[in-house]
Amino acid sequence: METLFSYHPRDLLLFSPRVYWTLVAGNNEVYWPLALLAPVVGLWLMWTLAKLGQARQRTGLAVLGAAWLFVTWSFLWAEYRSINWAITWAIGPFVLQGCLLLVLAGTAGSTSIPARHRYLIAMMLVAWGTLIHPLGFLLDDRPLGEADSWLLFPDPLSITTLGVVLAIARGRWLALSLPIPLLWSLVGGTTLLGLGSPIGWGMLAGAGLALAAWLPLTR
Amino acid sequence: MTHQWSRRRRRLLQALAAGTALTALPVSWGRASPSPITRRSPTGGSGIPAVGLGTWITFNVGDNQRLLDSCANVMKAFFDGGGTVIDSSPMYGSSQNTVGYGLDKLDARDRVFAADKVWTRDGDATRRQQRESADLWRVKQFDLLQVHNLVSWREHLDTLKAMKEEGAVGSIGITTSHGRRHRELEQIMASEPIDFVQLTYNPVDREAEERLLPLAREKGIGVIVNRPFRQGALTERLAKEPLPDWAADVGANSWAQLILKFILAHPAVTCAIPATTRVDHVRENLAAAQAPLPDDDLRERISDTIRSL
Ligand SMILES: NC(=O)c1ccc[n+]([C@@H]2O[C@H](COP(=O)([O-])OP(=O)(O)OC[C@H]3O[C@@H](n4cnc5c(N)ncnc54)[C@H](OP(=O)(O)O)[C@@H]3O)[C@@H](O)[C@H]2O)c1
Repeated sequence: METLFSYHPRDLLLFSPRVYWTLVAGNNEVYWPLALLAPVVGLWLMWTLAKLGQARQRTGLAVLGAAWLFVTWSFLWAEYRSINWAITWAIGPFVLQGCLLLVLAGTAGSTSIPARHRYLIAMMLVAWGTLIHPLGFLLDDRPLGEADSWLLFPDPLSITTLGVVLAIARGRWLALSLPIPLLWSLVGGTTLLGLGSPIGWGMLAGAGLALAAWLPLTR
Repeated sequence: MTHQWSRRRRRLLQALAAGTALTALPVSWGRASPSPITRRSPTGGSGIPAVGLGTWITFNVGDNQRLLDSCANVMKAFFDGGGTVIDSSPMYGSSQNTVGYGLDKLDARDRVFAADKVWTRDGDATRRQQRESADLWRVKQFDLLQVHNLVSWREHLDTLKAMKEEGAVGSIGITTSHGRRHRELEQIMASEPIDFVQLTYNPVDREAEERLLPLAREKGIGVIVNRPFRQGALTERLAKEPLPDWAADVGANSWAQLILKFILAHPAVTCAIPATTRVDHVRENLAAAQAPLPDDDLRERISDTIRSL
């Protein structure tokens, strides 16, 4: 029994916070214009959701789809995989999610604003992913250069995506485009907690809220 | 891409400056300290220094040049201090490659006792994985290959035995940790011709004392101790506590040294393999492998004190 208590969340990780945040800082250095643009594009995304219209929706989804493909290539494949072999299993689902969002962008008709609960949760998630989550570095006492923004890193991207698809997608499309970011929010949130970053709780709460908004009881 | 490289290069230069500063720091566990005590190797040959170097997490630094160089600095201090045993595994992310980078950079292939593991459910993949690991380590072959966490151990052990016969590996063993699967490990130790067993043992985790350590002694199996500091949880917790006066009786200057001396004083233990990212810690750990080591009474006192804190 004592052995059981000798486990710590960090025992689940292969790498140290120092190494993970060094990877994040490295990508921020290389793609700094995107890191700077991310909050602005986030605000724009929220505006498109506030004023749902076919063209705006499609552009929002296309940006999101492209971000999934970019993050897969620039971070998961090129960097994260080198310290975490399990990431190899995430590559396929991430590419699939990017493609799903691009197809949705190409086919989505105009949708009306969803039920109030769902809409509120959707907007909160987008605000969280694009504006709040990157501030997690403040809680951890890390430098600004280690802030993870949604256009560059999978954690805030997943939370943002949950919000966008909850606001725009319906029925089958919603069922298709929600599971991957939902799962990643659980994986990413747990990883952040293992790294000692309390912002991981935000991701787990975000996943819980998205699930609640998706389930029939809040429709 | 060029942009990326120039930035990485700048970071590398900063790192080199930092690395140089680090090695220039005055250290209390100096380079001048005598070589660590050695233990008999179960396969004969030269003795094994009683403190080795683990690589789980600490050496999983990916391709980051600054971090690779900082690990190479740790390896340099380790070899300079008389250490030889480095332990890694295919499970440890990029750690094997980091060790290989360090061995290359320090030109230290002839100074290392290369201990790696086989970690795959595919019982037919022993040799393939060993080749991949050796490529990452940049060594021709391993001094010790262990079945990691008993994964598909029957199949792997059969192949490892054959490899040892052929001279493709120096010695063979099996590992576990966190006190897991001790029963099964005991059966393997009793029935298989292994040279080493790797398990968790420290002043708080003492289950191995009951059956495994006595059995290892009886059968002449070398014991490599992992997680001496419970992956740093022990040393972190103890950092706030003052070191008892009586620690000086065994020449321990820190909690880490007291823990290592506790471990090394067990007659069945061949070596402990603490992992570290720090040059001062690697020196401190090696310096623990010196006489005097605690007697039975003092060992109990160390264990009781640490458990009570
Ligand atoms: N089943 C298996 O085969 C298995 C399982 C577990 C471990 N292992 C092997 O055993 C090795 C050791 O176990 P481990 O890495 O889990 O844990 P560990 O060696 O008990 O602890 C490593 C931690 O201790 C800290 N540390 C090291 N020296 C210190 C000192 N002098 N003072 C204060 N803190 C110190 C390090 O932090 P700093 O970086 O700050 O020094 C590091 O975070 C592993 O690396 C691995 O090679 C094998």
